[in-house]
Amino acid sequence: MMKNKPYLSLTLILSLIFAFSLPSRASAQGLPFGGLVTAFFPCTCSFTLAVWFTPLYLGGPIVVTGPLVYSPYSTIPYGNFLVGVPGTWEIGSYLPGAQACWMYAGLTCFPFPVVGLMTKVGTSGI
Amino acid sequence: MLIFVVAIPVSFGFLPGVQSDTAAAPGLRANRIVLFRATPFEVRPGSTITLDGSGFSRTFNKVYFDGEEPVTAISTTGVSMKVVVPRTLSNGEHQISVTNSFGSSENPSQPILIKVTDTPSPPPVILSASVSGDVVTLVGQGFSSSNSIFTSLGNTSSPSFTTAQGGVLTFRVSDLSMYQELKASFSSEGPHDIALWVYVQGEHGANKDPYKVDITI
Repeated sequence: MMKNKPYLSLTLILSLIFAFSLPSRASAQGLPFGGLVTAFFPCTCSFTLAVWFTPLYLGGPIVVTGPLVYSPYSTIPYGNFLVGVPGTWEIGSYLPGAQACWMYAGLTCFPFPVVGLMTKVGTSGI
Repeated sequence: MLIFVVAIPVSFGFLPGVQSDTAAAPGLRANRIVLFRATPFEVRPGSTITLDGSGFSRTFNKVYFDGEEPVTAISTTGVSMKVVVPRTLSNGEHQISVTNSFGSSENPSQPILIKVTDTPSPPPVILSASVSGDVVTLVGQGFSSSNSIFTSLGNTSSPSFTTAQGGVLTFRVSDLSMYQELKASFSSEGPHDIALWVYVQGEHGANKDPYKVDITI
């Protein structure tokens, strides 16, 4: 029994290291989302698209409404490739809080806060 | 004998050649330089401004004022850098552009401007907001009758201005350019609570950070 103690301690320590390494990998891929597209607005400075979802499911008990940003440079699209088309249901993952929508008005570009930046998205048909 | 193999994420950023010279803003194309804004809008010659954008170099950028007066600057983040406005710059508005190994940020359809003056004024500041029906009332400093409102639901160029309490602006949510489209999409599901992000822009620039107003559509 006493002989196994060092191994048990080592197992515990390594398990903790492994457990704490998992969230960083998950957050790098993003959090899950799903929702119905109701409108879209071009982000004219950042060359991205703000897609408004109503409802927007973010994995918790509360259903919200709001925009997620689709980027042609960093979002991976999946079939049916109808990102941002009103009336389509879309699921994927997103990076919360990423400032990815800048719009031009008057003298300069303005950052508009969004729910997050899509990292991947798949869509229904029309 | 038990053998454990654990994969621990490591960064190789310290190795030469692995770390990129530039970083792109979230969602923007890599290897492309974009300039979003320069703050503050009004500055004295010789003072420092902050540029926000994407693809700024950590080692070498040139910042131009109306295509002239190049100033060298570096960015530690790739998305922001500080630049000193040349003392030789004349009073008035000047268009800013940045160049580096990726090319130029110049975009004739979306010029990024600053105004050089010996007597700069601070941009508008929103101190508080209230909502009654579809009317939003903003209380703040630096408001004037020439202000425009930019929001996450579009723009309105005709807010009502009064000088009471140091400056009050009012506008209708239903006057915002994207309101009707969003309202129509909500109509079958009843009212929704959403965050409206607001900027006030005038002759002295705009508030740097958006002000959040909770509204129901």
